[in-house]
Amino acid sequence: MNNPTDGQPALEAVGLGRRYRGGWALRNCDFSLPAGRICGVVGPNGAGKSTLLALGARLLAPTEGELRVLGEAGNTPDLRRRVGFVAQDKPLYPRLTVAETLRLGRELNPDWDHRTAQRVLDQGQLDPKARIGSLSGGQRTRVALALALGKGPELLLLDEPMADLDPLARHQLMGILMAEAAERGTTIVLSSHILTELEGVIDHLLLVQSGRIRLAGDLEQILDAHRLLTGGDGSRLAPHTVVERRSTGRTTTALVRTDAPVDGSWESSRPTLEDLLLSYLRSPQTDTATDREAAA
Amino acid sequence: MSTTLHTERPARRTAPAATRPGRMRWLAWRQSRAGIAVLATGLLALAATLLFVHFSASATVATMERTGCRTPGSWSENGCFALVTRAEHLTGIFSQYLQPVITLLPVLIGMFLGAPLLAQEFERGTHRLVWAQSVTPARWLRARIGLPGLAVLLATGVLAVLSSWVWWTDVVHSPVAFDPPFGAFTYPAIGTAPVAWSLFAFALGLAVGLVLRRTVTAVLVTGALAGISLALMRLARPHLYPVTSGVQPVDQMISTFAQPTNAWLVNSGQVLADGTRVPDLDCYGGGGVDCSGTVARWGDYHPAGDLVPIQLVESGILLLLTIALLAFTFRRTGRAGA
Repeated sequence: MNNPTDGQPALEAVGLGRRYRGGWALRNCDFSLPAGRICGVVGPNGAGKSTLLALGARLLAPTEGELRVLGEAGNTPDLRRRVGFVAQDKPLYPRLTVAETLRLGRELNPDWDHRTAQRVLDQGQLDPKARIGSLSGGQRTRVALALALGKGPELLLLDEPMADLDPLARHQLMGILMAEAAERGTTIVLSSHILTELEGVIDHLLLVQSGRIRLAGDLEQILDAHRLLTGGDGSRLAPHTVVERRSTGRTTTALVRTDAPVDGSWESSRPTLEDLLLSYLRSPQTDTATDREAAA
Repeated sequence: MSTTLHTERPARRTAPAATRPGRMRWLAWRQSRAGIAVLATGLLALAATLLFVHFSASATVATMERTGCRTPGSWSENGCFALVTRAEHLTGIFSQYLQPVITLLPVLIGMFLGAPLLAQEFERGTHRLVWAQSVTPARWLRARIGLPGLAVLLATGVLAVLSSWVWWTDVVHSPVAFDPPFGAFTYPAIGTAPVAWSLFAFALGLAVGLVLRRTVTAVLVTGALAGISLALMRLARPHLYPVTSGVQPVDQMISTFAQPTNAWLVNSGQVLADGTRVPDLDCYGGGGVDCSGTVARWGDYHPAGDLVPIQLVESGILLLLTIALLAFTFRRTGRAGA
């Protein structure tokens, strides 16, 4: 099994920023992801999730700051071997067959693990002679993941990997990813806007919104630091940092961040991952400076 | 003792000391083989036609010599007429069909081998697939470009040798054909021109495809740019090497300077009594100069022997442009690869 405290973080951003022609996609990002984690990168569309993953895959260079990947600040041939990446649109050569696409992986990667790649394909009952162009979106996703897993990377960056998979395939592939992480200590970073698919899978969270990191850290610690409160009087939230407050009739529901004990008049519970994410996503104006303490 | 400590450390992945980088050869071949097959088919068709022209034409000329039909004076005789017609027809295959096709070949290579190569990768985003493997963008590009580039070099090289040989033995020295080396379709079909132009157009297609990142647009723009380059070079060609100047006495049979056989007349005119040289265009082309008092004719021309230096200079220019385009392609790809 892996030991997260051993060695360098898998990803470490320091003042990271990336600007496109239209403006900043990411700015002032600081976080550290220990090795061996399964990290969910969550945020609304256009938040900067894909930019962050492409920076990690070295398909983009940062405009400012840096993103250290497995301890490396730049890009080296050695780093290329150790990092796997599947882009959101799952690019594959449409005229190659499934078997030829695996051959591509074998030829281009010195650490190629054919059994893992083949296992991913076999679960989907893919015909090795089928051309990629004739496959459905879900089948192509499977081939792309087989290629990424067969590479045997230490860090696997997956941009919206499950978006076009049916629930069964999603479950199978999540199982494979979890097994990969457990067996080899692979660090997996996956972005998603389907919150339910992350529950019970990720153990680390990176919440990206409007090009900023709003939450970064161990999932359990983040959840422990928040309370979901339900009660009658919204005025007595004073000592806590209120992430979101909603009132329906005479009942107020609030998600707060607090270490202090909660007033007895509130019904208090630990939020689920979905409660937490939805509250943050619905209230983009919450002060980010205090958010970032959770990462520390 | 210390060795056991080392082995206890959970070895993640025992990296070999000399890490084998990814092998691009298979993928490059897999992606280039269709284009190379088309190129090879085209080469075979053209080579077969060239060989047919050579063997048929030389046999016909041999028959003409045997039957005393070689000199123009005999051509009106019945037996000779058929032979001359046949010889003209054979050299015509070369001058009227093969030469334009070989002249156009570099444009086709740029459009259909060069332009789609990178445009398609970037249009589909598949460059990210390859760059997510263990090869660097530079290595990928070297293999991806190198293999079809080598095929272009070999195919056009063979074609240029065959074409020059047929032109030299069966056309320019034929008793029936007149095909000076500087002709609009002759010059680009012989010597180093087919090779240099093909490599240039291929590199042009790569760079255009990389910039535009759209296959169809890149194909059309490459075709247009290659065509413009051919036209511009044709304008520049007479100035690539110093001309030979000559003066001839006035001959009542012809009104202008008569250049030697197979030479390229670049400029010509009349010498007036006071020694001034007036271009023919000013005398006959509505220039309004009275040239009735002409005492001699002058002309600037490239003799047939200038073919080799002019082709070498032109090929050198094209080679430099090719290198510049490739350097641009590599630098831009390297930047995109962060």
